Amino acid sequence: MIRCLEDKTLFLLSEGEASEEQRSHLKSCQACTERYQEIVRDLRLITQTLQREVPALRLTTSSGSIFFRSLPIAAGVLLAIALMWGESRLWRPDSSSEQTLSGDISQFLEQVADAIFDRGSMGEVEPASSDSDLASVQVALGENCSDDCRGLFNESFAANTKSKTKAVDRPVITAKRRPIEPAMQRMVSDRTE
Amino acid sequence: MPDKETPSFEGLYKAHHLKVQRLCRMLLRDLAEAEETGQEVFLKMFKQYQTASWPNDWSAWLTRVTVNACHDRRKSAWWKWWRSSNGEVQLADYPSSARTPEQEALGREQQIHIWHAFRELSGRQQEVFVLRYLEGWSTEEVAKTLAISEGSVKNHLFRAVHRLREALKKNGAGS
Repeated sequence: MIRCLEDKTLFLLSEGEASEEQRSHLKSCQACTERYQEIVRDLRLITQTLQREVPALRLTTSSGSIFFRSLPIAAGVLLAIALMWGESRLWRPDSSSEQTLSGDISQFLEQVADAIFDRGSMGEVEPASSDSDLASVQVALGENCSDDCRGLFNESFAANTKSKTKAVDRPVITAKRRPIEPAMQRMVSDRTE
Repeated sequence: MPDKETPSFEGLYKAHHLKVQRLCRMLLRDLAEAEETGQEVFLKMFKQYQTASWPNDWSAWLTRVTVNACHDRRKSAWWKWWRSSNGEVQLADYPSSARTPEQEALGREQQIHIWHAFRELSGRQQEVFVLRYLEGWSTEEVAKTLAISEGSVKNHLFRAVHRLREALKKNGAGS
C-alpha cells in the first residue's frame, strides 16, 4: 500500500500518465479520488473560462510607476546632452589661444615683410656725411683736390641731399642691396681698365 | 501552386483569422501588438501559400507559427521592459453572461481572476497551456512545436494549472 498521491502525480494521472500502482491506489483511496476529481473539475472550469472571448485589457499605471519608468529615459537624455556638450567643448578652440595664434601670425607676417622689403633699414637711412663722401672723392682723385673742386663738391652734395630727403618722405620701397659676387667685381674692374 | 481543388488564400484567411487573432490576444497583452502579430502571421501564410510546399494541416501550421511569433515578440527586450514596468493589469468589459451551468456557478469576479492569473503566468506556461488544453494538442506535439522536451512541457503545465487553481480557490469558487 503506497502513501497518498501528490498533487503532481494526480495531475499526471489526469493527463493519462502514471504507474499502474498509482492508478490502483487512486481507485482504492477515497481522499485521493476526491482530490483527483477536484483537479479535473477545476481544470475544466479554467479551460471553459479561457475558451471564452478574450476580455479587453486596461493597463493602469500609477504616478509612481510612471515616475520610475521615466527615470532611465531621463538619465539617457541627460547623458546624451552631457556627451554632446563635452564633445563640442573638446573640439571648439578657446578665445585666448585664438588671440595668441593671430598675434603669432601677425608677428610672423611682419618679419616676412621686413625680410622682403627691408623696412627696418628704410626708416633708418642715415644721411651721408659730406666728410666721408669728400674723403672718398679725394681718394678717387688722388688726394689733390683744390678749393674749387671742394666748393663744387659741396654744392653738388647739398643738391643731392635735398633730393634724397624728398625721396625718403615718399613711400618708396627699396630692396636690400645684395653683396656683389667676386667674379662679377673682377669682370667690372677688367672692363674699367 | 494553388489550383481549383485547393483552398484559396481568402478561404484560408476567413477560416482561421479569428483563431489566430484570439491566440495573439491571449499570448500578448497589448491589443494593438496582438493585431500586428496576427498580420505578421498571415503575411507568413501568404508567403507559404505561394511556395510549392504546403503544410498538410493549415490550422496546425497557423497555430504553430502564431505561438512562435508571439514568443519572439515577447522575447524582445523592450516588450519585457514594458511588461515588467507597467502597472497593474485590469480586465475591462468582461461579459457578465455565463454560457454553461458550470460558468453560472462561477461568478464573474472569479472568471476575471482566472484571466488575471493566466496573464500572470510566464510566457512558456501560457503557450503550453493554450496548446495543450485550448487547442487540444498532445504533449508530444506541444513539445515538438515549442522545441522543448516532453518532461518540460509537463512541468510547465503542472505549474500553470497549479497557479490557475490557486486563483480559483482564492475566490471561493473552486472546491
